[in-house]
Amino acid sequence: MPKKRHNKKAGAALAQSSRIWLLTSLETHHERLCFEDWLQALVGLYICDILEGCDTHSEASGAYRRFSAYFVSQISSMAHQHVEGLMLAHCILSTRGFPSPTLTSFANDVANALAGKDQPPDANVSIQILLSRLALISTLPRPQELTQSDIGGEALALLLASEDALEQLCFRISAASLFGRRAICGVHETLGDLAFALPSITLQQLRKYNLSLGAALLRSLNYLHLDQTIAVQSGIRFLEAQQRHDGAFGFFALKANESEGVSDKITIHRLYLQTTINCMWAIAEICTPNFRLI
Amino acid sequence: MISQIPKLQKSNCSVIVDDSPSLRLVAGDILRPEKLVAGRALEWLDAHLSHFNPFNRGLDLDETHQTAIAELALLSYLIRRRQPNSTPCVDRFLDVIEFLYRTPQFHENIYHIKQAFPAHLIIRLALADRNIGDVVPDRVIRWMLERGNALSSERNPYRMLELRYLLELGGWSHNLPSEASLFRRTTLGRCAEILSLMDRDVYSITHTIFYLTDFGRKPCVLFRGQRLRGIITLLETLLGMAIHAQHWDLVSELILSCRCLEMEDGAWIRLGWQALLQVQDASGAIRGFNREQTPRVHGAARDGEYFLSSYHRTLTAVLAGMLGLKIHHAEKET
Repeated sequence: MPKKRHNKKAGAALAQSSRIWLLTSLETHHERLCFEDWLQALVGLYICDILEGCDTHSEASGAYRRFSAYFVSQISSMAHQHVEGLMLAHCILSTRGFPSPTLTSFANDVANALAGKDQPPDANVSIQILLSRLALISTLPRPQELTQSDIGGEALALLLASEDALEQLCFRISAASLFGRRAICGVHETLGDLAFALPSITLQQLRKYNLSLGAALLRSLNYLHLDQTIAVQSGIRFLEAQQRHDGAFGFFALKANESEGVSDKITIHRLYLQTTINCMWAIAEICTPNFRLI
Repeated sequence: MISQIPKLQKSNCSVIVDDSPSLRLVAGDILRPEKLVAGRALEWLDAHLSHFNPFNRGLDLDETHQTAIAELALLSYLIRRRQPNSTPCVDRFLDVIEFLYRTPQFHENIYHIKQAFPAHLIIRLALADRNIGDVVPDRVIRWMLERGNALSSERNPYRMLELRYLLELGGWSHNLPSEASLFRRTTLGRCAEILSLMDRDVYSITHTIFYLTDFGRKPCVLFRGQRLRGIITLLETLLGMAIHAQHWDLVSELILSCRCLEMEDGAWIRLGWQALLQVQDASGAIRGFNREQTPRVHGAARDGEYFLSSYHRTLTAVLAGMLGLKIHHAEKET
């Protein structure tokens, strides 16, 4: 079973390799990275530390300082559109021993703004959880329960759902379980249909080599406490097998052509970055007892 | 003329359904999607029987068409074995199969095409009571088995099982390895990680089960206890994956595989039938590609392409609805 069989040595080897890739690519592409890229790279480094079981890896210290400087510089321009991202960055940097007064002040402002508000929409659940982790609010939000409408009405509709609908479902499962921090909140019939159909859907998405969605579905299965199923066990082994020699995840038939310019290279890098972080997030949450990214 | 085939009777669903004990619609059956799907699929095959004959469209009897004819022959054999004196459409199927089998283009390939030999065996089984010994004499088949490459030609392990199965059914002597020995070499016998299985591997799994259980007529000693439970879990998981992938061919094959191993239909099988009922079009075909999409070819060729892309899904749905342990036991009791 994933949690019991977790091999620390294997997790550490995987993390070491990915950390090298993340640090190298940060060095190579830093001038062309957008906010989301920086955030993903930060999350990646943090997960590497978790998988390796260390507080902050010495090689990553310099990078964390660099991340801190970057996110502080983004406060004025990104404060409205990337509240969740800035909160996550602040939370990770604080946990790693790099708290920033500017980001702390931003987090306090967010906590004050949300104080006394009604039940938060799904989009704000992650922010509330992060505020709770930072001890800026005392209670976790009460999530909206999952219902048949979230799965299209029945098990067959769920099985025939589009990829967009499945992404939305993963989002709903994350919110309804507070990203795995609480027992899932949902109608009995809906939870039954999810337990029935979601493992096969997850396996098929992985088999299609849709790694990002497959990894998100694996996390969802974990939040549904279905981590002892064949789907999760096979899925995690499959994700681990997708790490390349350079540390990134995914064997895609893509290669930046020197003549095709810089934008092409960054697009390809972005695909690998996104895939790598999604895979590592699933592996870390399923294989590391008590770890939750959010 | 080669392009002339016996005049076909006009297809009539009610005849097929009314005359077939397995497909007879009675009160309550309206709630059983497998009966509806299989009945309408059989009607579609009957209505499109002329498409099995490539000469009708000025085409050659190539390997694709030979395979289609062999599969129709297998369906006919399996239905007739269940219901010797019913299902009149099977007589029409056999008329077409016999006509095509008697064309020189069909049996000239017996020595040349790897798949042709099993296809010949299937057709001979289906046409056993039609005196076709004058087309390819038994001594040719025996020569192929005793002196030719029929048994030595390299095949996938599950194809070897198929060959063994057909030879046993026909009572032809052979020196192929035992079922257990062949099974150990198959994908199913080797227990590969589920995520590494490609579609062709899943076909191998379903066919291995078909042959080892004689399409649900006998329990296989190789599938017992924990292994049987593991295989059923695997099949159900693959069925869920196939429904999600909308791979209707595999959905039918996996339903049939489960029914070959278990007496009762589980939740996954019921869901698979619901899905097939949803995708079956008004004519009874299990849709392959969308007919309204821009076709690559036009006219008769378009119809032919549509037929070739649909017939196997549709034919397999008939088998899934008409075969299996439960049906076999029910018939034995009556």
